[in-house]
Amino acid sequence: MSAGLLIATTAEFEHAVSRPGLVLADFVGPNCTICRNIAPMLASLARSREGRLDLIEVDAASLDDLAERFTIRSLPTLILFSGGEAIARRTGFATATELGRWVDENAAAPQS
Amino acid sequence: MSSDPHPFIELTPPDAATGALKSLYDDLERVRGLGRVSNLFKAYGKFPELAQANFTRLNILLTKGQLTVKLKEAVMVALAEINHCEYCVAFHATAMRNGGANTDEISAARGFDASGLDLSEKERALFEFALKANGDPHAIVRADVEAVKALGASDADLVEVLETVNTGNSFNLFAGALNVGADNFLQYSLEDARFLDGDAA
Repeated sequence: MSAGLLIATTAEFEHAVSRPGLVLADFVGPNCTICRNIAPMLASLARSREGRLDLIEVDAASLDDLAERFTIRSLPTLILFSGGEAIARRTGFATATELGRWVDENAAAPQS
Repeated sequence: MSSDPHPFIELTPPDAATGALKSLYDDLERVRGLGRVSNLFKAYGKFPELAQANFTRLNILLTKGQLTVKLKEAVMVALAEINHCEYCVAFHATAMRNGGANTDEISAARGFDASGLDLSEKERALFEFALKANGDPHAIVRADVEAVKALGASDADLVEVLETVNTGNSFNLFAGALNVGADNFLQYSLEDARFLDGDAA
């Protein structure tokens, strides 16, 4: 079950991450158990930050150009974008609380 | 989740139960109250000895441990939400209310938000630990365990909360795979996130 807007093309991805505000890209794969397990946590995170954080889901196997560009080596990989720029990334499972803390810390941090 | 309104196996009603199955149903009613033989245990009842062992195990988990029922039912509510088991959410929301929780706390458990649970700091940390273990048990590192212990959790507390995860998941699996359906004695509305018979704990 997808936690966010499922991205079908690279152009869709570019459009999604370039919007103002925070966008969290969830790179997943079809046989990734942890990707399925983290989906409800991400959905809860998105609900609690509605209007402040958009969640998108990228199938790293289908969109291999994006996987290559962002050096996706394990799944799930989460990349946080702000104003089109990748500002943080993490891999593996995290609870909704941990994800919220991670997003807030990185959103508040000054970007170089 | 199936759209089929009927269970995939026959669920024997209490008035038709005999032998070991009747003994199981009698035990369920003695502990939970008259008429409260859940559909889950009607399904388990196809193997009465196993059902009895599982009911005993559940009772030990809920009555013999050191952690509060509210925490353990909050974990089970969260797991039911993760597993998309609506019957299980309604069941454990009811049990969580019986453990002293209000509807805001039940919504917090459904949203995996430990900060919304009126529990001790230790139990809120154990709620988080349970979710982490459920999400990826092999990613738990010593520092995760030490962090929970620093808030007062004992080795026994860790075992108890992990067994809560095991129990919740195994019951969710049964309920989903056999499509056992909601019990008619549950009053929690998933859509409205409230109790139809009033919200008082």
